[in-house]
Amino acid sequence: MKVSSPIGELPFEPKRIRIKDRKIQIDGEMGSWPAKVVIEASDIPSVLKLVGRPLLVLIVLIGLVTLTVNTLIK
Amino acid sequence: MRIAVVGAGPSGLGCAVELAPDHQVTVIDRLPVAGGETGWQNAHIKKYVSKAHGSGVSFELGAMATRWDGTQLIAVSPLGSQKIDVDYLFFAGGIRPSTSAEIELSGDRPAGVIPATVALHLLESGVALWHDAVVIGEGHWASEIIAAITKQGGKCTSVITGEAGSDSGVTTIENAKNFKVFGTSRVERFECDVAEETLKFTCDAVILAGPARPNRNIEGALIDPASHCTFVQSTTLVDPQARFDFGRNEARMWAKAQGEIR
Repeated sequence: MKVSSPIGELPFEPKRIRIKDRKIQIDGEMGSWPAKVVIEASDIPSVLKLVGRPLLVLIVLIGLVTLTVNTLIK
Repeated sequence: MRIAVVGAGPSGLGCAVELAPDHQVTVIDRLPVAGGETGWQNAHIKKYVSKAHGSGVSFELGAMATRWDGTQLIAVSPLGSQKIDVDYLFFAGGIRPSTSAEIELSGDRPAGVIPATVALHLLESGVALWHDAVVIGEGHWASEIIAAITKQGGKCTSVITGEAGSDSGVTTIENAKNFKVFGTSRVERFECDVAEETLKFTCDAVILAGPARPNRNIEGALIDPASHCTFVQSTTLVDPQARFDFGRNEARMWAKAQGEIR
């Protein structure tokens, strides 16, 4: 995993994932520095907003493929 | 001997690998990964790091060396500051483009006069804070910047003090001197003299891309010579392998001067 920053691209290696106080916390290392990613409940709407459209397109595509395959089999 | 090598780029890694069989070597770098400007993902760097680990070199990455008194190095990191007792320092802190003062850029002091290293970071991130730039200098920074600006569809003019060795693909002003920049808040105009004529350009940025100078940012190791310190900074070599070999050679020469013959 990589993280872009003003000092360039750095590696991020996840070491542990846990749910703590209703937050998802990914502990890892950014090179030699300890680093963590915390996702709170309040972050979920904005994350869903970001992934919403591609997710919708993906669901529609899967649906179309399934429909086509089923029609061909019949 | 306990030796600190500041800088985990190719030169520093070369030094460390050369010294490791006879000394206790620690490589220190402000970034949390080895590689310096060459980058931790570079295949050469991965090979050198593996070689260094295999030779017993230890790494103190993500810590910035700030002071050297000949016996102790102070390094600060997000985890705190530490005093590292060492007998000798090799400083391989890389190079930087000359500043406005060093190239005697006169005129106003507007925003938009940018060191090439910063401009490159911005371009790599897809950010161009200008529409029409003047790039002063030649060498690898200038050619990388001109290529990146051109690739992104931007406009720039290359200004060099000598004669162009090859076609840079953009308008190039050769044998230029007496650089001047004008603008109230932002760069608006650039001027330089060529022979007896003064050339004027409308632009919104001036990028300082050379000549290269050695970085010096450790108190007590700013000026060459410094106590118990060797500077390992080539201002001409660009290729990672050439810089690694340069680091090895500098360390070998130092060892010979110490009477260590291998």
